[in-house]
Amino acid sequence: MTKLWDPYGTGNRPNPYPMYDRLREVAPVYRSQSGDIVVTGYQEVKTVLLDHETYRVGNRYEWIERQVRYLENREEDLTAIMAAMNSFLVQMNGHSHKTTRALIVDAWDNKQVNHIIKNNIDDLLSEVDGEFDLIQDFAAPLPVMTMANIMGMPLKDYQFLKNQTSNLIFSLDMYTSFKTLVRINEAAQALIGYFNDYITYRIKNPSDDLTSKIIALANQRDLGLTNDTLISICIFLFMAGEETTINLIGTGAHNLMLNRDQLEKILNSDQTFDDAIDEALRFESPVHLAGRIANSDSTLAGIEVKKSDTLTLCIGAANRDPRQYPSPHLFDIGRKAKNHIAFGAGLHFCLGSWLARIQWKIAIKELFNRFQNLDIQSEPEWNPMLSIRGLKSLHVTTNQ
Amino acid sequence: MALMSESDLIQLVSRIVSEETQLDLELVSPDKHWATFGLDSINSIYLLEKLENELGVDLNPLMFFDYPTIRTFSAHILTLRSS
Repeated sequence: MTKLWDPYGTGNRPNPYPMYDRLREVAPVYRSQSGDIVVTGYQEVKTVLLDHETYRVGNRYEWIERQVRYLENREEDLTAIMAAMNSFLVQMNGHSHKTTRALIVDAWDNKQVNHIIKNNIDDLLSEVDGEFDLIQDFAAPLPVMTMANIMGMPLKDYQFLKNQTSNLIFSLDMYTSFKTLVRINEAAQALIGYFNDYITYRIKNPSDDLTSKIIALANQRDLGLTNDTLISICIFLFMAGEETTINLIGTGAHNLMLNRDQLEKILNSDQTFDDAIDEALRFESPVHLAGRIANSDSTLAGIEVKKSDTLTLCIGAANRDPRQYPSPHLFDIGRKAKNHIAFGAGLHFCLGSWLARIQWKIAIKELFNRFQNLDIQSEPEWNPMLSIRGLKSLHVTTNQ
Repeated sequence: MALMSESDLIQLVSRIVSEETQLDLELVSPDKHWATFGLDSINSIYLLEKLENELGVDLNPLMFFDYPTIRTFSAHILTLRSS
């Protein structure tokens, strides 16, 4: 029997889209075997994203909180996960979300990041030639280095930070096993320790970096943030800034190599480049699944949603809804997919979207200008995470 | 485990369900939905961990909902082991 919602089913990791299509055709809003409501239609996902009264964010934090409390009775201490996550913007609602978001947006006044990104790209690309892994050698380290630069951390720490955040990011995934939770908890402890020291250092030695500016603005606004809150804000900012962009660069470069005519077009015209970013975001949305919890009983596309139900919004499926995008499985920069919801919609619209766009543009340009014959060497390998979709490795050759 | 029969496996899963829920073993019927025993997306996680360690298999938390009784779940574990 084929299950309609079967994200771990054979072949569904590398290519979940046939499953999404079947599901959307039967029910764009579907109550799955776990009781969660899976939403795959574009309009339906957008409706939920924009209705902040009926639906709140925080489904992962709330689940983890209940899980951690339960495990306390089994003498398992996973409380560091909660401490790390307590001010993850993506899990916050209402007033605290508003003030924390405003704090970050207002503190982030220096958007002149092109030279930082270019320097990092030069460093990374000068190390590769012949055959290399486009993900591990380029797409993965680049945004980590950039976020470390922006937040003022020493670049030598980036490998440590990358290792830890690539475990902590699983706190936002679905269906996390106990073993995964233990791994998340270890990463949470390591990152809390790191950022505790780093924030203490920046309080004494403020500089022109984003961390110092956040600390200063929080004081100026008298927000009364504890050290724990600042730590969580910084962990989230760092992780959100790198884990998603990695995937956008990775799948974007992959799809451009599969569509060389489009690659040539964008390298010759800045205008088409902007269209290509949107198509890359639509075609392989890095934030693939997002969650909401119902605040009250409601009806969505004819399906009853009960108060406290969890909703799984398939951003990646919505962006391939044929009712919104004709021939949705074609990668086509000519479609000008401006209205995709890869960055979300409403109050939680990605606040780092501008950075993702700049970084993608410079990364793709530099990569293909330097290696004009860059080509795929073998089938890519996909990451195991459901909520954040991207490649784990992509072997390429410069053919020179 | 490789030689375990379906009925042995059902017994083992029932025992662990009984331990984890504090229900008497005779109340843990192999054909009732997990929810009958108060199992849900929270307390199933530790139960699955115990089963993984006892059986040496990887059990994804979504499987718990795909196979919602001890009997169907055990049958699925056997297919995992044979594949």
